[in-house]
Amino acid sequence: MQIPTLLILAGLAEQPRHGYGIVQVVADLSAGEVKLRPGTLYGALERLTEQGLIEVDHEEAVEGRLRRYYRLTTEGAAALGAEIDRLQRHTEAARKQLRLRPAGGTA
Amino acid sequence: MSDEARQVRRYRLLLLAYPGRFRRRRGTEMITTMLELGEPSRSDAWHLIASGVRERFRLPSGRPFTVVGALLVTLALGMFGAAAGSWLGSPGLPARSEVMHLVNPAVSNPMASFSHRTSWSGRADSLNFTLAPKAQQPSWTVEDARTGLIAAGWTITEFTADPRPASITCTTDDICTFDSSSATVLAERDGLVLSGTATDFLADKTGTAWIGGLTGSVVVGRGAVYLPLTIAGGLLGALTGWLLTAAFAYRIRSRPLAAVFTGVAMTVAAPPVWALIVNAVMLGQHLSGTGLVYTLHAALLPDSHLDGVPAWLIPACAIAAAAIAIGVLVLSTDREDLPGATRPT
Repeated sequence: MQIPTLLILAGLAEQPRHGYGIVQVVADLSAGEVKLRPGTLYGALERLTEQGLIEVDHEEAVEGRLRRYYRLTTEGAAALGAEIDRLQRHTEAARKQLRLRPAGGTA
Repeated sequence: MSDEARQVRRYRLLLLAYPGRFRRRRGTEMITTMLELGEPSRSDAWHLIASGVRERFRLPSGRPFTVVGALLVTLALGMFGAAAGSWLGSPGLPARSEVMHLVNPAVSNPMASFSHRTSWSGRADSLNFTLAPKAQQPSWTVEDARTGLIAAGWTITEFTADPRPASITCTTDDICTFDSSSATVLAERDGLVLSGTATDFLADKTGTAWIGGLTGSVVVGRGAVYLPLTIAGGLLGALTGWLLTAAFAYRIRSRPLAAVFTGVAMTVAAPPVWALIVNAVMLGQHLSGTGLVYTLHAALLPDSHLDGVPAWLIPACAIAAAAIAIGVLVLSTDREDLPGATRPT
């Protein structure tokens, strides 16, 4: 799972969000590191919907514009949890290796 | 026109990079999001276009059979595309009289210029001919054929004389076999390729003679555009195959009949696709050689070059597969909306 996808799923965990809301929450979660462009966002939303990880919650019209809200499905929450566990394991293994680095480094 | 209307118009143009299915499902909400994000930079615009093009190539997620299907359709349309390119790059054989007008000078005062046109599956059409001097010309040799062809404008690309001495072998029943000196002749002129065998005049003591002459065939050689057109046709066909599968994979999943017919079309297309692959291998093996001229599209002609295949099978399967494929396209032309979504009020 790529980082933008992980962050999109994470951003939908708390509450359903529309496209612009997802862009904002992903920017917040990544401390501004990941800035989703519409092409990336909607490509990911299409794939995640097909995979059943997210689904349409509801739609609304604001000032004549369509807003579609997405929510995380049960499968999506499970996939997000599994991915977080996997990354956690890798991170901890990497951290352990870093601690084993000899003091002063190599010549 | 207001700024927002102008922006919406620009976004709609950019969204044309996406497949229609995607635009119908997500176009409106994408425009909403883009308006909220503010004016896109040039880089954002290119990124949107690239994302749209990538979406056109994307197959539905989590469906391995679709990937296999896409590869098979890509292969099939790639081969048919290459065959179309081959056909475009192969000028037809000129009329028989025109060809014989060019070949006849190989023999001065020819007695007979027997010729017939032949269509071989897998190969370029050829005109087979036999030329012999009208009257016995004891001095006639294979060199005369070479001289005559050069005088008629042919370029001799190979002239190999058989080193065997001429001989006449007679049985006790006075049936004699004339084994005349011969030479292999290859010549080219205006895109035509002549390949044949010239033989010397040979007579026994009684005056019975092998009159000699030139026998062979003329085909249209592969021109400079043949391979580029064939390769371009193959690439275009393969690209079309993948894009069609990506587009129709979404449509036929809710139409079992269309899915069944797609499978039938692929099955029926298998023999002609295999015939084209075999011919592509033969073409590759004879690319630099002389003599036989293989043309890819000719694999679809009746009387297949494949062993044990009925004459009608390859062209019939090609036509049937095309007809069924068109049927599948017609069956799958309806539009679909995002399931579970409710319309704004």
